[in-house]
Amino acid sequence: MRFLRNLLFRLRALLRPGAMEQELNEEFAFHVEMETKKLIAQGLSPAAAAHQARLSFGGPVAERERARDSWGITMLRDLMADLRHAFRQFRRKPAFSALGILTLALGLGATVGLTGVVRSVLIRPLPVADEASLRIFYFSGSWRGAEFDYLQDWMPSPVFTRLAAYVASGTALRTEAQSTVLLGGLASANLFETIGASPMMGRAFARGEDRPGAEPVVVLSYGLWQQELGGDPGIVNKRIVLDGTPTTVIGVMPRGFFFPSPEYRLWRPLTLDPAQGMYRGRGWLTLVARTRPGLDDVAVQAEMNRLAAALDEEYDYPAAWDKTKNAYATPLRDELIGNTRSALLLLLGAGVLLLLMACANVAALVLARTTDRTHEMALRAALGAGRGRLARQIVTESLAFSLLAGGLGLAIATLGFGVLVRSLPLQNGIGATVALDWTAFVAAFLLSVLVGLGVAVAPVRDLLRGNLKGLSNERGSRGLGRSTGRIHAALVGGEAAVAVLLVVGAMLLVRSVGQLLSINLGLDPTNVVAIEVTAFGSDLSGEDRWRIFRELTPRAEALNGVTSVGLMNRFPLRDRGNQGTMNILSDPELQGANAPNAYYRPISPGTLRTLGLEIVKGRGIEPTDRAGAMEVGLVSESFAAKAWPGQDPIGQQIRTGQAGDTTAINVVGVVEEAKLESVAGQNPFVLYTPLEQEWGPGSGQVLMLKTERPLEQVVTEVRGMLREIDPRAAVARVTTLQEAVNGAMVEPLQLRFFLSLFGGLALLLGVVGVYSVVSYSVSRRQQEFGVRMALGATPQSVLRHVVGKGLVPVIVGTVVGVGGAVALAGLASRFLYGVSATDPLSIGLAAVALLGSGVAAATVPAIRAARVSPVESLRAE
Amino acid sequence: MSIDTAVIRGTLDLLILRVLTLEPMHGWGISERIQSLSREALRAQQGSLYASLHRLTREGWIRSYWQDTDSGRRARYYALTKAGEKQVAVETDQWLRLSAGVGRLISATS
Repeated sequence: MRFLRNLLFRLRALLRPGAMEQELNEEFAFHVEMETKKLIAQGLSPAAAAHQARLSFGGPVAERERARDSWGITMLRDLMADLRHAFRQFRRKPAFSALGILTLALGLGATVGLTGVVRSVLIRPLPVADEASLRIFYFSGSWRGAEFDYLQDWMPSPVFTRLAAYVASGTALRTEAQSTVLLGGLASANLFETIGASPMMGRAFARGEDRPGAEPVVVLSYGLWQQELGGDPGIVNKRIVLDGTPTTVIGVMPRGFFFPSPEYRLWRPLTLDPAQGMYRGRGWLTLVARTRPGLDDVAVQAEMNRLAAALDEEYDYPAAWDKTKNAYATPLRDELIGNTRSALLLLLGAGVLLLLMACANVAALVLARTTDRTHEMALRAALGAGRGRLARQIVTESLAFSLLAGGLGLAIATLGFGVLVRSLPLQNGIGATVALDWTAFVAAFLLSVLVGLGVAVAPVRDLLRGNLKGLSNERGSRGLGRSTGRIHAALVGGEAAVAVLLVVGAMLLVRSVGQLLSINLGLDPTNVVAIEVTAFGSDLSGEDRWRIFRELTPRAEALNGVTSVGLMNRFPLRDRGNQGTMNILSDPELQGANAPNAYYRPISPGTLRTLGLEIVKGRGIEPTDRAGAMEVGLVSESFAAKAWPGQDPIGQQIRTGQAGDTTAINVVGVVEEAKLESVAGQNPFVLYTPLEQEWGPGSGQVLMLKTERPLEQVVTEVRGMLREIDPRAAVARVTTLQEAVNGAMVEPLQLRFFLSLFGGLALLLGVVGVYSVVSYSVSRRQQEFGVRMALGATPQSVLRHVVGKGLVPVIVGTVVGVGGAVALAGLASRFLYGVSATDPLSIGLAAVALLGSGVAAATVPAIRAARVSPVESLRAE
Repeated sequence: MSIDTAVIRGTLDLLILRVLTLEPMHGWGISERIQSLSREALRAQQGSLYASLHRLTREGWIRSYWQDTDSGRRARYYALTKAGEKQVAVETDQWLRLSAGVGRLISATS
């Protein structure tokens, strides 16, 4: 209670000093009045009484000061005065202060925002037990069921305790109204025990549920349970229809759980059935293993080599997929985030550099002002202000500056966080799990305090060294103190170096994107809509699937405004996979282990036309290429050149390396090169075959339509057609090919955006830094220039002198920056396309940009110096 | 047990607190009472008086409020708080022991 009253008293004194003051005056007046009355009663004349009463009271100012001191707020009062002083200073140079605060705020905002993302993506634990001891086996997505079972025999090993397998799998959840396509995982029964996660309701998979004959079961994600299934509290043990199969829900995972990425919404057991062709056929699984605690990478690597040797005894691998070589196990997080780590750290580094530059600018500003105020400081010191008090004022000012910027930066980070996350190259739906939390506020505050203190270091050091000689020779040393000059030069040089680094980065990305844009895709992505149509479900027979896709094509062709339609088993420009070895029958050197690897693309007759792919030689796929007719195929140009150099490919024969594939494919045409798997990747070898000669259309095909109509309209119409053809079919991914092209450039485009922003700001900051330092030194040396010109220096020579002097630190900084850019080239190279990280053009342009703007920034104040009238400046002396 | 010499510096505080045990009073009244009750032996410096009053207020031992005097003039009155009443007892006790100790020492050495 007493403490509270004490606090309230002080607060009132602090917040309403005027009211306290007035009460004090009134109280004193009352006292004097009473004393006067008393003295009059004792017989004094009113005038004499009043005089004596005031005398007895002592000096009113001093008394008031003593009373005020008893309020116990001296420190705080000084602080308020300093703050008011600081804000008066801001107002005196509003443009500079605003720029300083704004750039500091941007630097802080970028750093805080990116730190938030980095924390979420790189540091926050994944929702599994002890993620550090979970490893993904090399060649993820390439393991066969047989290999998994074979490796399982080695578990638990001295290094691994458990080994689980999983694979992504699209699943149609069928409700009465519609089919919804979801991404789910198919996993071995021990997946959840391996990763150390358990459901919040129900149970995980039981042993044996991944074997043939097991009842179909599913574990749901929290989001799927809440959104698609309405959060039914009694969902466990109920059945839902997945791919046409009634499937028992056995568990619901807790909120926030995801594996392996947030895009996965349900998990079902794999069926590992040695009787199925898939068990030994193409690999499709990813393996995840749990290591024993406390093992280092060396032990894990040794174990991987041992397992690879074991695989060597059991299997023969083609050279392209040799699992006996280069075996390794990567941490789970690397598999999840891929390239994101480097991109994020690169951007965070750029943000920190920008922040450092903004700090240097503010430091130069504060330093210049403090030096300007040497006289004021000296005067105040002479009047009894302690050095500590003066130092405190400098620190208060720069802290006020940096905290203001910090608040603004936090606002920028908070408001812009959504935009930031969306514009970062985050893969696998991780963006959805990223959030700014309280640590961002702590980070912003701590960074601001750090910045504020850092900025105050140089001026306070000057002050404490006792350079307060202003009073004794107030006219004398108007020149720039040598130590201050050195600090200024260092700050400008550092800024220049950082600016070069950021601008080089931006230039490299600009050039990369330019290169990406000029890539010859081969195919023509304009006005092509691609719609993935799935026909999942164990209740769908092969005949059903054929019917769906055979009916779909002519109906799509009949749509308004559609000029051509084609089917393909994968998204062009986007999807890898479905490749295999191709035995070239004319050349024994290109068979077996040495057979070339090519993409296998079954297509319909309209596909090549829809994609704008030219047939260079021979013919395309015709409607007559059906089952029972001669098996035909078309090869890409580079594939033809590899398989039959200098020969006519038409009429040549290929046999795929797939087990049990005995019929040869007759080459009837050559197709122009195309970027089938990714925009930036190599042109793969491709073998196009007629879809109708496949054993079946599979559970999904990408329907491509050449049309000028908008994507949404076409998708709606295709959905309508599917409802009529077979409601069990569903639409999965949709895109325009142009989007797919853009998508491939998202990461470089995003990096280019950020680096250009940061680089531009850095250049601006550098210009401001050079300008302010040069113009400050010019203003301090007015008289010197006057004297020089009186002694015969021409305005041109003064101009040259000032610009030259101002540029020295810029040149040094640029050289350092270029060196840094070359040294850091390795970091950037993985984000570049078609341009070297030490690209001389980019580095040269950045250096020129910096030096040019340095010259411009130094020239403006230099002109002012050259205009100094010798007479006036000498008169002032 | 020795007495904290700070008590001597705090004499004015004790005097103010004792005066206020009689009734709430304004600053001038307190200084008059100190003078008259000590039979003119003690006199409070006006400036120190108000500094003391404000410090005691801050400490929470007394509180102040504005009220009209008998003559209708508005004045700031001070009154003891609950905490202040306890503090009077503490400070009085300390003072008595101090003065008794000083007295004994003086008589023993004279």
